Amino acid sequence: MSDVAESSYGAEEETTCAKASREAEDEMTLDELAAMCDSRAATYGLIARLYYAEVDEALFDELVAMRYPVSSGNDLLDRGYYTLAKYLSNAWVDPVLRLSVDYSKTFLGSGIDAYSAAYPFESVYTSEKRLLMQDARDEVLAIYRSCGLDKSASWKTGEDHIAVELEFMRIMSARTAKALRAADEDEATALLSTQKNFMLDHVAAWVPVFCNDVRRFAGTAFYQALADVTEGFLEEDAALLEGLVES
Amino acid sequence: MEGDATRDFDPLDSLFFEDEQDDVVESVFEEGPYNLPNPEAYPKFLGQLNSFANAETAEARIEALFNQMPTLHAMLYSMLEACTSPVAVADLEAQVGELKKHHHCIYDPSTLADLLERAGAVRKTDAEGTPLDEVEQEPLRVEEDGVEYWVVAPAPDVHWMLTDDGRAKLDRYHPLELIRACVAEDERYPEIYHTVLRLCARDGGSSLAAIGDVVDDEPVLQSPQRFATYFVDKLERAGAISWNGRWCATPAGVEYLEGIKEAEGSR
Repeated sequence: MSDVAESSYGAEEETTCAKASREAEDEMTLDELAAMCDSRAATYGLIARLYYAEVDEALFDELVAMRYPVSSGNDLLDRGYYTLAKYLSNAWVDPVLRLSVDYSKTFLGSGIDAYSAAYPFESVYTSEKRLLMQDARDEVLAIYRSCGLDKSASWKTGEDHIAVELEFMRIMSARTAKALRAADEDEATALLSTQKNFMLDHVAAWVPVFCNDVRRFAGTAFYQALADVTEGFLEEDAALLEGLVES
Repeated sequence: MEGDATRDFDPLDSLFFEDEQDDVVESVFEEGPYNLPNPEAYPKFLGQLNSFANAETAEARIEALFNQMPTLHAMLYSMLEACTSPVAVADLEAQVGELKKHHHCIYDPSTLADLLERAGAVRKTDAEGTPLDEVEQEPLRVEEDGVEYWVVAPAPDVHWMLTDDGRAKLDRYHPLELIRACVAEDERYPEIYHTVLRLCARDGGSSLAAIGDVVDDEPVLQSPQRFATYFVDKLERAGAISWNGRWCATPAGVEYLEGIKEAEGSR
């Protein structure tokens, strides 16, 4: 089983996301917190990858080999994991091709209005005329840069794409884990605070609405499940960050 | 110039159409009740382009699918033929891939199989032919260190096999009759058809240029003038020849030639 599978969908995540938000006030060792942040980073990485591009053969094989928690403490997550496992259990003939078709239908769409697909950009959901490259893009770009990050040369679309925002959260989680392991609590606290603010100001502000659109446009249970997993995981992570930063 | 030649000239005259009621073609943009587009004015040819999946019965869907893919009949029929007994997905795709080598087809083999499945001509089965299309696997529930997980259930060995409607469609396909009808339809040219077919039945088939060299100068083809491509096209549509890098006779084409040879011998 891959690292991603082990850390994002294994026992660790079940204990971190669902329980840690409730136990954030309780005492956790720095190592436990670091492991939890690694787990969060892995989950963010996987979800970002699923939105970034179509599922390819290698990723599909990884998804098939993963274990999905039955009871994570969040109804959306539970439903998403079950639906995902069930879809993969029944995807027998050319699943990668079928998922590619559905990715295009769900996220790219075809139409002359702004309501033909679940467009994965914050600007679309936060600007009056559902346009790309609006204020949201400028704001997230400024935040990335303030954290010393910039887009890679190969990224040709807006930086407010859901995959980029989730990737930002992944990097911040990984940095937090590193800071915790180095016993740099001030740095870890600052990073968690950045994540909490980014979650509240950006990710949580539009992704739930976007996930509703994904459920509306997706033709396969796979992307329906991805919407559930995304929304469920973000709910848990928002609560976790809230608890961690307050404590 | 005598007088003013342009005085009575109306440049729009030649573009003017009399607005008689008989000539008025209903437009789809003509408004019906409540300012909605008028469905009565929907052009008929567009109606035919509706998805084959709209037809109610499998038989109608299969017919519509074949009607909408006239250039892929040989490929679709060969797929149906391959599915008379359960054929592994990979094997069918390899077979279609082989056919695609010499056929400009934008469809992926699995897409063609998917279309046939949606039309109701083939279905997923196991190796013994037991249908799988209504089987829905539940993920497996496993417990590890006291925590329960869903694990993806292993995929069965999936095969494609004809449905009853698919078999009926295949049974209705008689290329030999199509070839006979094709030759009988053009009653002026039976010899030309036979010559072209004989050329294609040679070992290694025949090129279009070689066929043209033999038949293009035939007197019967001078008025109206016809070229080898006309006969090659019709024989291909009838299933008598196929393009494998060169034009080659199909088994049905060879059978047809043997039939006419026997008929000539018995005379």
